[in-house]
Amino acid sequence: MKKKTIDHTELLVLTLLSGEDMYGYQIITELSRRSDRTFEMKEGTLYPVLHGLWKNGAVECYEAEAPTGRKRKYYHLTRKGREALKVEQEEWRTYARGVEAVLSTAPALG
Amino acid sequence: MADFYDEVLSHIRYATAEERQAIRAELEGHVEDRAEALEAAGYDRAEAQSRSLAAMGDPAEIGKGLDKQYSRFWLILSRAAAVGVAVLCISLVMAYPLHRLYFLKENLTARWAPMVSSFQTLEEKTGTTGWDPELKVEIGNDILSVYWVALDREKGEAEVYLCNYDQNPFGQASEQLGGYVYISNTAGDWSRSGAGGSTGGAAYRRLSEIPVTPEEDHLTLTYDRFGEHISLEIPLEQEGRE
Amino acid sequence: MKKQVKYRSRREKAVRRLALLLALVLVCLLLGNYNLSPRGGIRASEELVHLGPTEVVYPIGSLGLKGTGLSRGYLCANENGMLFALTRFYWAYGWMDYGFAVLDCSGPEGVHGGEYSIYKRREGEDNWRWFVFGRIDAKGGALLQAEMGGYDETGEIWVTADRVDIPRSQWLQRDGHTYFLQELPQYAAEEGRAYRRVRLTLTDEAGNILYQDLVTQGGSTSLG
Repeated sequence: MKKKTIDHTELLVLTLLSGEDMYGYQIITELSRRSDRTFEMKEGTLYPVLHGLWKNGAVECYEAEAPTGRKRKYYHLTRKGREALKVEQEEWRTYARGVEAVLSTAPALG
Repeated sequence: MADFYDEVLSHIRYATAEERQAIRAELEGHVEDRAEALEAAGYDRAEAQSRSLAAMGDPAEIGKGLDKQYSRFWLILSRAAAVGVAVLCISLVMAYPLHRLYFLKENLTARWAPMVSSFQTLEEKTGTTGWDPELKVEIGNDILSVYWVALDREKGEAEVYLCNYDQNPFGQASEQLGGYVYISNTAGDWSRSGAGGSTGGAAYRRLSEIPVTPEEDHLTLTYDRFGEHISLEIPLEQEGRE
Repeated sequence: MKKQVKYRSRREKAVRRLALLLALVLVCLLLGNYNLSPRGGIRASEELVHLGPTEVVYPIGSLGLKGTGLSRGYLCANENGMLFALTRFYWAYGWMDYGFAVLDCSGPEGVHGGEYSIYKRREGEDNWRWFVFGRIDAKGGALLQAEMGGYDETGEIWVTADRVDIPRSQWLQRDGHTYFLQELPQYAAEEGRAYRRVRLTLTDEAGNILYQDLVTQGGSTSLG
């Protein structure tokens, strides 16, 4: 999954799924909770990302009962997805280090 | 409310009805969950619904994003493959593509349990019994088997049953071979009639009205074609008379 | 991971179906009799006539008859005989045997000759071809003549209706043997088959007859 700019949505979704299988709404709420509300995306736009990951084989999906009692479509990270996650994490860290490196050369601002 | 989902789906060009249904259900479920949470937070039902829908974002954006994931290419490929599988399954059921299995069946039958003619045999006519001489000879890439002989000493007549099949159990038997096999007695008289058939895996031939003198103890089978000369003695045993 | 994966992505479905298709195709090819090349159709004819493996001496190419689909004719031979094999391609069955004429060349004759008439029935049309073919073992020949005709009522006198010359320049050399193939002209058949026999005559430079006899081997196929 090579991209010129790193699409952090995929990275975040993959990371969440590496912990446990989740369904769409759950991912949104988890994302918001863990990032202390830094990441709040327009909820619908999660789905193209999920379906894209599914299409490429990074995740599998199945139907199961959610804690709310309703049936929801759960997403599960595949082995291929885990590999992709590792790669994306590496790329992100390299990017972050790069940004940090540039910032540290800036004069401190009052 | 229905408009929101229809709007999203309208941007997805190449999805099957099933896929559309699944997408709709997934989005509806999401909105349902969000609305429930808002209601729990104190909003009334209608307010919760409209806020949840708004929180989803621009339906066109969602729709176009999904459209990118449902490309035409895989759809066509998937359908073409399904058609191909169906076509092959039908033709397999008709069994012609498994031709070699039929050859195998006929080949093995000829090896171990060759058929007896459906025509009225000499034995039926005269009440004599025949025997299996168990003679096999390689001719080219086929095997010629003499699997039954019927003999009537009083009438002075014999019948010989032949079959040929490919050495390779999956192979095709030669159709023409039997037509060039001749049986003669020691005096040099030949069989006067022959009948046979071939089904691919094996070919059968029955040579009848072979004159037999009382003293004869064997018949001679010959095949002479394409430079290949085969000569085989068929001993006429004394057993099996009457 | 003990849950059923209820949904398959479209790509996955396509890949699985393609794999299944490929597996089925392999099964059909292995257990079937589907020949992907005309050589397979020739082999089928070889098996039927029990001639053994042959080499193509001359590819006749498309039959050029109406209603025969994609079909080819090949003149083949090995040490012991010749096979004029027809093969036709059917989508469902591949290249199949479509007719043959066979010639035993193991005898001592100077010339081995066979004829083959190929006929495809069509309303009111002449839709057939007629060939004479064979192998020349006699040395010193210069001209081979094929006469079409037959014996008259008495059975003694040969009557020639037409004649075709096959000079040495038209003979085919292959693997140390000399072969010939000649298409015979069509002409309105006279009543009775007697006028459809072929007689071959081989003469040397001086005109001496080295071989002369009726063609008795070969075949005739009414195409399906």
